[in-house]
Amino acid sequence: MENIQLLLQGFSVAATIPNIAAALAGAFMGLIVGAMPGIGSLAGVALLLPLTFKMNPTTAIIMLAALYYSNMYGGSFSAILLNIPGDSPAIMTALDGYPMSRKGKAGKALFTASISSFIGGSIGIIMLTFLGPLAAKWGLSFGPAELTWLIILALTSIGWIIGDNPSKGLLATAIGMMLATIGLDKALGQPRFSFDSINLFSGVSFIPLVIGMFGFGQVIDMVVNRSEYGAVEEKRLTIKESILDKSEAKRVTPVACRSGLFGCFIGILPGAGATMAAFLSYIMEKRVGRNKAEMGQGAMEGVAAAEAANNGAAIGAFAPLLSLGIPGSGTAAVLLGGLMMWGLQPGPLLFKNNPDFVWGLIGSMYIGNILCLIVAIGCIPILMKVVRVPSSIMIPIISCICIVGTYSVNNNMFDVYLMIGAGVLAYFLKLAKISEAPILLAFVLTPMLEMYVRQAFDISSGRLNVFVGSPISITLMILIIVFCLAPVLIKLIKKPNPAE
Amino acid sequence: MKMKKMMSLVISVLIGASAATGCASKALQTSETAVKGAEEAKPAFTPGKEVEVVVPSSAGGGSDLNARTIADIAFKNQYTPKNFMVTNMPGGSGGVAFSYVYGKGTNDETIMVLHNGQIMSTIANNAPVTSDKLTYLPVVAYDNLLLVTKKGAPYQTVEDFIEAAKTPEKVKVGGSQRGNTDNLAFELINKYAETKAAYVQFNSSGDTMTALLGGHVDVGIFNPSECIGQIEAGELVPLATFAPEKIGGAFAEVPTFKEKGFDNIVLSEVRAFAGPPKMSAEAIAFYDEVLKKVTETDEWKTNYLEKNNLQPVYMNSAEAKAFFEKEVESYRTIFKEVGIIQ
Repeated sequence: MENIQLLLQGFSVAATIPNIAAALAGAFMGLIVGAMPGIGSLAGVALLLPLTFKMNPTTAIIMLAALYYSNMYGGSFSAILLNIPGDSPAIMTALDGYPMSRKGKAGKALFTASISSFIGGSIGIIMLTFLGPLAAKWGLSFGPAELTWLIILALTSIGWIIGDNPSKGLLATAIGMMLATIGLDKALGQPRFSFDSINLFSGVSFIPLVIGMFGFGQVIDMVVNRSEYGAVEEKRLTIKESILDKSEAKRVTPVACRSGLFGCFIGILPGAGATMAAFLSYIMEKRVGRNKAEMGQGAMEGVAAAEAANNGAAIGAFAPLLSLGIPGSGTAAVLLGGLMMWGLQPGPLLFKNNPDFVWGLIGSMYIGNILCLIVAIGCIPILMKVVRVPSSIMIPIISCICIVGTYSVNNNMFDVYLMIGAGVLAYFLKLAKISEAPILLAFVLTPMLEMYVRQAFDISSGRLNVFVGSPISITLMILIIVFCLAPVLIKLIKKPNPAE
Repeated sequence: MKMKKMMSLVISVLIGASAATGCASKALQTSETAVKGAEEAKPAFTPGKEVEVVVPSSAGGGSDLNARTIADIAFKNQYTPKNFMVTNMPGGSGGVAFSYVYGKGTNDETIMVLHNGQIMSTIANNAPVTSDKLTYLPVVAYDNLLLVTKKGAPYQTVEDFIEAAKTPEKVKVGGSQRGNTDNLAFELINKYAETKAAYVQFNSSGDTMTALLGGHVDVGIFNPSECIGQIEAGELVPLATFAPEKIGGAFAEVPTFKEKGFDNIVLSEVRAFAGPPKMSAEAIAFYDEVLKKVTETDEWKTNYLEKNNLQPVYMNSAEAKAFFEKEVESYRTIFKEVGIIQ
């Protein structure tokens, strides 16, 4: 129970006024950064890092950590209200959150997202407190081969899971993978499919793609099917009306607990991150959840699974960062740089040499997570006003957001054209009933897949046996085979007795 | 009712404004970081907005630390009226960042950390943009390389490692990026110690470290700053350094390859800067001055060089150009010798 003593010591560090203020400031900025399409936690933390150099390291990390996890709350706002995910971990939130919002349940969706985020985050923090260093060591056993299987598991599942037609889902996955191969080859630095265009050398940027696919695609749909997009009238726009009733809370809580725990483990793995966590949790819920049939059409479970998982993962990423000095995600990598800049020595001795720093941070997470929940719920009544805005006003506003948001990231007009192209593509895909979420997820995961496959082959000198070299690899492989064959087998078994 | 409509409109516009991502974030930066202007006599050029410092690898590596330290010192001491903003752009063994900076053309407010490793990578990979297409800016430090293994590994000395590595492809050496200094250091061992180890390429030293600690590779090549935390914790054991002479501080005991009789296994990292191809002469003069001032501060010398076991050096842009032109030739020769390029 040494940990509890240390945690109490951490609380005493975290509960000082500057540190609580830092957590609150981080929580606010995280919500804003998260809600802004395009800018995610990575850019948010990177932008703020230089401003923290003069701060006390503990205060600085408390603020940046708060920004990181509250970003996961904020990402759900624009996903639910506008169908534009604020950042990539929120892609899965949009799948159920936006349909809920169209059904006039935006308040419920936002509340579900916030409370699930809170549950996921809390589970992550408790895990970090008691199992952090241990879990981080376990995470190390995931090498390139194991991570390859994990991504293949995700990629094979996605097509079957989203939308009603598996072949269309697989087609979407393939489109995403193809888009991801454009640009410089990560391993050899050779340009691929860039057609000698300087704009394509560094590949298709994610931000124009996601804003185009979700936001601008939505605008086109709104213009074409104007009659369907009347403003949603909600009778009462108060927090009271958004609070989940007993039966709803019963639906959401177990999902959030499972997904939070699962997300936390994914977050601990080196290089997996919140996007993958949200994604795999959603898949898991869709496979085993009680309300799986409704998922994708506006189920609270979908929102809960995605949001709890990405918050759990954001916290989980701190375990390897603090206990081993290695990054668990892109954002954690920036924080690692921050540790050095603040004059700390990241590595296994951090827990021993700087207990006030480490436990102060962990203590602040308990406080920060509650602050995030309060701020996020406080925003709900204001945010819900968005759904009352008639589409004649919404369409120009979303278009502006799409164009300005895309342009301002790199100040590059090419990105805007790309965004518009992606929007047009998304509209046609919608007509063909092909979901765009698998495209974006495949786009995010493919570069990682390529890198891990190459590393695995480097390690094995080109032999395939590296992929069955560990129990983890074999387990993941069996899961993939089961997932792929299950639907076929179930059909075969069911056919003989159609009475069932 | 009208009031309510107005409210909704205002809120939507606010959301719109906040969603205009870059604008919002830039406003934040400017308001927080604008400095009244350097008090001393300014060169003809001063940046009109935040200077983007591109780091061609993930955060947390040696290049990243270098960039962030310089950005911090330059800003704190008001050597620059605008903040230096560090952007990490990993991938393509530096090629992605090279292409990005090359694409900036005449932009005077983008510079990148140039490291002889990336110069090597672009040569080795035959990348579309090589360093000679960019503008060379000052050299600021020399960095060292270490060969490191896990505690409890079957070889705890460099002799044992070389012995084990004679078996083809038995020993896996992890390093950051292909054709980088790590890769060249590895090739030097294979060639001059007559070993047959295999090279596993990672995106950053942080990833190499993860794989080494997880036992997925047997040894790794790191800068002192990248592995000192693990070495002090006793998790990792340094086998040898590629430096021409022993490194001081925590690494005083670590032998050099030269001492072990391998005169040709010597390699240092050069940390410098570069700018877009058509950077103006005024801007070059500005960066020369800022970087010179930074390298003269005590903070640079104690908190960066000494702490991370680097060697001090300063060359202005013109000297750097001459230096690198010579270096590039020697890299080409070595790469040809070890067969990385034809």
